[in-house]
Amino acid sequence: MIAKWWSADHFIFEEYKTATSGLGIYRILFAAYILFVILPTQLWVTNFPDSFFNPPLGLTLFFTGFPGAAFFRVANGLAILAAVCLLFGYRTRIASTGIALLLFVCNSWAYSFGKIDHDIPLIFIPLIMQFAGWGDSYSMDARRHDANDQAEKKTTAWPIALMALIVGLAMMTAAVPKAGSGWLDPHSHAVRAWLLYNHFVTGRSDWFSGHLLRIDSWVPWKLFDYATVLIEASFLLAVTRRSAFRVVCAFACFLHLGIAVMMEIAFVGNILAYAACFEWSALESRAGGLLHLWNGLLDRISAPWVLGSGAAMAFIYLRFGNPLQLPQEWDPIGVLICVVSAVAAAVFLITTLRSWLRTPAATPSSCSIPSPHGATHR
Amino acid sequence: MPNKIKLLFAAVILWQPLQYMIAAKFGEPYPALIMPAFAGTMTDGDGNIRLRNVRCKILFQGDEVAWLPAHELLSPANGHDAAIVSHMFGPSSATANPWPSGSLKARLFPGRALSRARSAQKELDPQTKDWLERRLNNLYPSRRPETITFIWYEDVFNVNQISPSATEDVIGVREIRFQ
Repeated sequence: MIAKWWSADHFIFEEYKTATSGLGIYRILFAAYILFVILPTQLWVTNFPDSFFNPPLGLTLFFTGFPGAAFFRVANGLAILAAVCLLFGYRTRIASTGIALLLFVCNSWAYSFGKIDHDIPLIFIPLIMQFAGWGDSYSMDARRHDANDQAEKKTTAWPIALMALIVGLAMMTAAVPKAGSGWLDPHSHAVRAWLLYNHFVTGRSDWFSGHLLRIDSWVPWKLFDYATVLIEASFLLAVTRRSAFRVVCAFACFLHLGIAVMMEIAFVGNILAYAACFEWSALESRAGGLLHLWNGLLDRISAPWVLGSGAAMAFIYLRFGNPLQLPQEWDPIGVLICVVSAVAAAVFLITTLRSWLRTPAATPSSCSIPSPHGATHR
Repeated sequence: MPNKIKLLFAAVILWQPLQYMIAAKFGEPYPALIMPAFAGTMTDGDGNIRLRNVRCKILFQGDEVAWLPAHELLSPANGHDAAIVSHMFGPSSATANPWPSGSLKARLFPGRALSRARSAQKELDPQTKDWLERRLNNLYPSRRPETITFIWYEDVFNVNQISPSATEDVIGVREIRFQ
């Protein structure tokens, strides 16, 4: 029996169905980001003595100080190994869980100085997406199980629906405090105040913030305030309809680009979470050559090769550092991801709008917004 | 299986009000399904945007003085400098409320108990003082620091003026003397 489009069953089990092969691409990109940009992580914690220990409610509350450097080296070594396994889709479930737990443990210590970075999506993405079948294509697991018939495979929809729900709820925790603390007051300038704070207090000042702060007109500042609260609140309101949720995600990409260039804070974790709802299989025809090469590579490598590569990368990263990791105050890769996501969002919105204008009438039960690659998603 | 999945969705939704109450009572937990709030507008009724800020004044032997932004002093903290400087070198410990050492809370959560006790102390922890001295020696290898003073002030920007102008009001000072 097919659940009605407005029912909870439909939302959980039907609405976010997507092709398995697309999620394989998503897994590769996620693992590559973790491996080449994030890791090794939080090694700086050992620069400080235990007197700086100020734990939040969580795992570290039961301790009285920070672990030693050896702990972070071992945790990072294992995380690098897990990220390499995730990249090639070797023992994907173990690798996904491992990455999530190791990032969580390292972050727990780093956030015991009194500040929590809101990169929780990097932890819940691998925990959840392993159940969606992101290891079932473009992976060694798929080769091993001889089950790489991408055309016919369908993912389990509920993990992506769960991701969307979690993103919606989390974004609402950002929208509600803003709405309740003056952001919607026509006489306040919240974005302007926070931009001043970033520019003059945190030292995150750049060319964009310097020029933006010269804007004296009331109108753009107030529009920024309203747009921010509206976009953040819209996630939860749109969550039951994948097409609407994707439109909100697209608008949020512009918001994140604005934050990245104005405040030098790149919320890449959020963008990666939105990307779970992207129709990645649309890329298969466009990046067919690359994917063919990838499959060829998977045919040639073995489990010992993957584990050996992971160990070698762990040694190089921990001995010499990750060459792509730059000082915290400068995150060009994060900004680049925000730019790329905003361009993709613009293309998606234009294509969606065009398709929507071409569709003369939609039935009330479908309320469809066709996707850019032609298929209609509800 | 479908019922278990539905229960999972229900648990995620029901967790939200509980998480809200926990965050309100004990501060933001980790992990939590929370995004940065950026709550408040820092603006008063007259259009003044008030920002709390800090500057570090270092006095070296020979009466030489250097000024240093807190984020440079704490650059090894990888972006956590604002929280650290506020907690460790804040202007006043008058509001600090340490837990009694033998209490159940202090025994269950020793890390939090120690942290609260430290922020109530007038004198800086010797470990922190050693770290500060080492850090200043790294930043100024040829000079010997005598004191570091954290000067807390409020930047006030008036947005109703054509070019927002800033004034500075000092709101607190914390001096740390090295031996």
